[in-house]
Amino acid sequence: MNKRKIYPQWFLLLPLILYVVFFLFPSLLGVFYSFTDWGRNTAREGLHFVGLQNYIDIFTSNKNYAAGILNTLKFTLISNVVKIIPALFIAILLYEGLKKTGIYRTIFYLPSIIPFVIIGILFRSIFNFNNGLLNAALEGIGLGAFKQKWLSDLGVVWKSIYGVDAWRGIGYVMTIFLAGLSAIDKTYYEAARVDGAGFWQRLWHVTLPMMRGAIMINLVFGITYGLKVFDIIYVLTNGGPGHATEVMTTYTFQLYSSGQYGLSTAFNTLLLLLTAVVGVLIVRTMSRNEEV
Amino acid sequence: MAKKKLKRLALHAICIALCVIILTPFLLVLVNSFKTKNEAARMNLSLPTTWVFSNYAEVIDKANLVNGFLNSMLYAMVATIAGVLLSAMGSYVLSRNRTRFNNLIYYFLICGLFFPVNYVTLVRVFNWLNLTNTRIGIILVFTSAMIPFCVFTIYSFVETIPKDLDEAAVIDGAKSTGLFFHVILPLLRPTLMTCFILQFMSVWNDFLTPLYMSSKGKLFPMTMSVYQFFGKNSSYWNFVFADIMLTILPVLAVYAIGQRHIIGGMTTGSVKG
Amino acid sequence: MKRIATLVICIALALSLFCVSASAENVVIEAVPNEGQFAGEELSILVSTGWMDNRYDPTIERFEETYDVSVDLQVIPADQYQDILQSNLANGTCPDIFWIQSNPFAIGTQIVNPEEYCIDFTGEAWQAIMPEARQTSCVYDGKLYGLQLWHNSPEYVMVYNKTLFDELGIEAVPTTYEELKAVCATIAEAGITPWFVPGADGWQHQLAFFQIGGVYEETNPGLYEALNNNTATFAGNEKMLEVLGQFKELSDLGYFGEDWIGTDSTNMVNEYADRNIAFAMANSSYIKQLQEEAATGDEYGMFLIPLGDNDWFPTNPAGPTMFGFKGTEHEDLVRAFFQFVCTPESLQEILDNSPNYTNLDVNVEIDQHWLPEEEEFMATVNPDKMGVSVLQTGTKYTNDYWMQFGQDLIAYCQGTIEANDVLANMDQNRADGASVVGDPNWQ
Repeated sequence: MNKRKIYPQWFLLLPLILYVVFFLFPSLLGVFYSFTDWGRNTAREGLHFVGLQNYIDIFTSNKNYAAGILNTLKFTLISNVVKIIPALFIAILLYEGLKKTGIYRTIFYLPSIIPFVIIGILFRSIFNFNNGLLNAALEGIGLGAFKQKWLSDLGVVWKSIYGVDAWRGIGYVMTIFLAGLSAIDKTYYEAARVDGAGFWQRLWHVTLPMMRGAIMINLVFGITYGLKVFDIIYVLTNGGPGHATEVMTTYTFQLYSSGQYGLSTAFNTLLLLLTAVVGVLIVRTMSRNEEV
Repeated sequence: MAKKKLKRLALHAICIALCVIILTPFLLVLVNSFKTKNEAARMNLSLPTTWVFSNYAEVIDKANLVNGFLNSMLYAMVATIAGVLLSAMGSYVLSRNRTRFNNLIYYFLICGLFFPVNYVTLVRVFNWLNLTNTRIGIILVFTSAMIPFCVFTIYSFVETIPKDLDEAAVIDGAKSTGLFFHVILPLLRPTLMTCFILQFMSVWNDFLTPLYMSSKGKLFPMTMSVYQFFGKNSSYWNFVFADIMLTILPVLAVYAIGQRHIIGGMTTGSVKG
Repeated sequence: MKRIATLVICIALALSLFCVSASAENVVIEAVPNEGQFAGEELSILVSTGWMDNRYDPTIERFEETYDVSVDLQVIPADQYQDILQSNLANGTCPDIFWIQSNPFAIGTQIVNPEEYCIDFTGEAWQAIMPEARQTSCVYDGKLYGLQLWHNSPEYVMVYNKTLFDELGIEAVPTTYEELKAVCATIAEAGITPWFVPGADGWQHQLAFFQIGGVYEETNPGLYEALNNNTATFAGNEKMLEVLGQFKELSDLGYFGEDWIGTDSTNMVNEYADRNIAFAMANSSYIKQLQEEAATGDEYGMFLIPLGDNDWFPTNPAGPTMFGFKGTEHEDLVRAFFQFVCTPESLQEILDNSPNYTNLDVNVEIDQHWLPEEEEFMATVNPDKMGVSVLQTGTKYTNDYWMQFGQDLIAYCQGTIEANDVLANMDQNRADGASVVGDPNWQ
């Protein structure tokens, strides 16, 4: 049968046009501007090509932009570890360990529907040293020694960010794992049980291999989220204390605000490059898996 | 048996502890939305000394919440329905007819998952197309932005629908469009619901897009309203909290109604091994 | 020459505080007569949170009724405002009226291209309702573009709990750094945080450094002008280094509270009322807010920020300022709005609807609501020490990098960078700002 006839190619037209015009093209235009001196005075002075000057500025500036890039990578790695592993166990617990879990599922998912601004306001208050909820709770249960300056101690601030990020994101990751779990054929487990496999053996030999798809999705979403992270840091610390939690996007934002649009888009392009490389790697692995 | 019961009890205890951690901030919002301005600024969990129910009425009036609500509803509904439907059409063709060209298009679309949105240049494009300050423009941006995610999710779900179905339908005399809309689309329902709910919520929470794409207060969504109540010199935390409650209520409703579909849609779709 | 002019302006501004209505000429503006010429039109206004609050609401309502028009007010979150405005200006999609936080340099550095973006109001009678000092923030290259209606209360001085000071036996407010340290020690001993610094807000703590600009200029006469000509730097400035050192010392001694870097100003009213804190940098009108909102019988007063032994008044001819967008389709309506706002009736209405204002700085006879505390405080200020405006508005590009300076200051207090790095980064930022607008002094 003629595939082109059954599956009309024009179905693709509209989504492609929209995607290119409103999504891809603006991004590429940004890349173009990163080679110019685009700034607040452009309207008066005109736009000039400056070659790679913006990129050179980024790496030679005496501001520590490189630290921002490192922080971005660090955040991507750690934030995913602290979300994906607990989420996996919670999902297994809900799926295998308990009946009646609907209410838990609903509640665990709730945080990911709140706007970031609100999360910022709430947690800045909860983390307050003197009258914040967290320190008060620690004191209340006799753990006063664990009181922290959650958002200002250089050794603690990243942990607080990871904590809030996990609070917000674990439910989402868990939901995808739950979907993956429910797709596993029960007979595999029965076979494993007959063989006398314990929890860890089942996890390693049955659950994880069968959940490759779910794990992959979580990695794709998690890594791209991590590289592009902005909101959670912006609302909690805005890159502070000092510049301790600065990431690539917070620098982009600052440069844009001060009218250095060219430099800002150059930074954005670096981020794009980074995500593109990681993206291609992931998509490659994915398509290879499909072929197997 | 007793041991099993004990274990179950322990597991429930863990879940309940997690629920407490997750729900406490929500409780904070709820309790403080009934307090006076200064009491709310303390942001603690104690009950209000006097219950100020009028906070809600004032917020609705002062922040023009009705208009914001209608805008948000319009954007989220129309953009999401359009985005999900268009992505379904696209992924269907891409998944069924895997030519070299179509595979390329698939990865080309998926690339969007990794791109950061560039508002500045987007505004420029908007200008060229004369879409600034229009609701349709805002909706188009939302729709376009969700295409990579939806195509990614729906594409692999389509694979799980047997191809024999298509052939049977065509032999029965169905036209290609009829085949898709009458046979395939209903079968895609679980994954479409998933995409719809996730994207509805993200459109609802996104206030930056309308902010950049329009310069008319009339077009602002509900999430913007909370900013009316906090500023440099004085913040009305009671109103902020009441506003938050009202803003997240619709999303909560959508989530409560549709949450079982989120898992349902992913079950047979992209997450299968 | 320019410096002398600024000096005169600053003195005029500061003095106008004393002679509240006595010296003010009374300029009366009348609204454009309504002949139905605007019926059905819509006027849009772009503004950041906090600049208009709700105090313009009744006036806007009257405007709508008078001319049978509608006003579309777009209140943008403060942290997005600059970006939104710039994007709107560059793309020609700006609302009919927009606001900026103006100062004598802001038209050049923020709008950059007023000829292209702003309606030229030169010759409008309402220019005269603004005191000379405010007009400098509204005029560029001899042309009138903006309208600044702002209060003239002491801004960001120390607001302190007088009753508490009395009870602790502190007889005089501190006027030097050593006195400040001694006072802090006494207060801290009583278990109270002496100086509340909400570092997590990101924009408040650096006020301590910038509000005392007069003392830097006094130590190095001609500093402001040299900074604006790019012949002097922040880096290496002894007085500035001294002030930074003092700030860090107070931080290290715990006088800002145990975790000032992680604390924001959300709960500041209650902190005052609960007597958890003794003083903080705030506007004089904050006293009014404290008295009205917090159930406290304590009395409050003000003193100058004594870092670097400062005794200069923080004169600041800056404030949110309204501009007309040149690309508007309703230029006459925009002009009518500016004129309408400047009528005595509207001005009175605006002041009366401003819970946080005690006065409006205009040459119009309206009922001002000065606080006795403000008058008392002004009597303690040396009139010779008012002629230098605060550092952030007296020098170009400085204010544009406010937040970055604040971050650096915190990094210094935490020991991750040196005091001179904080200053050197400001030099670097100002050079960036200068290159953005193509300032010849930096080429």
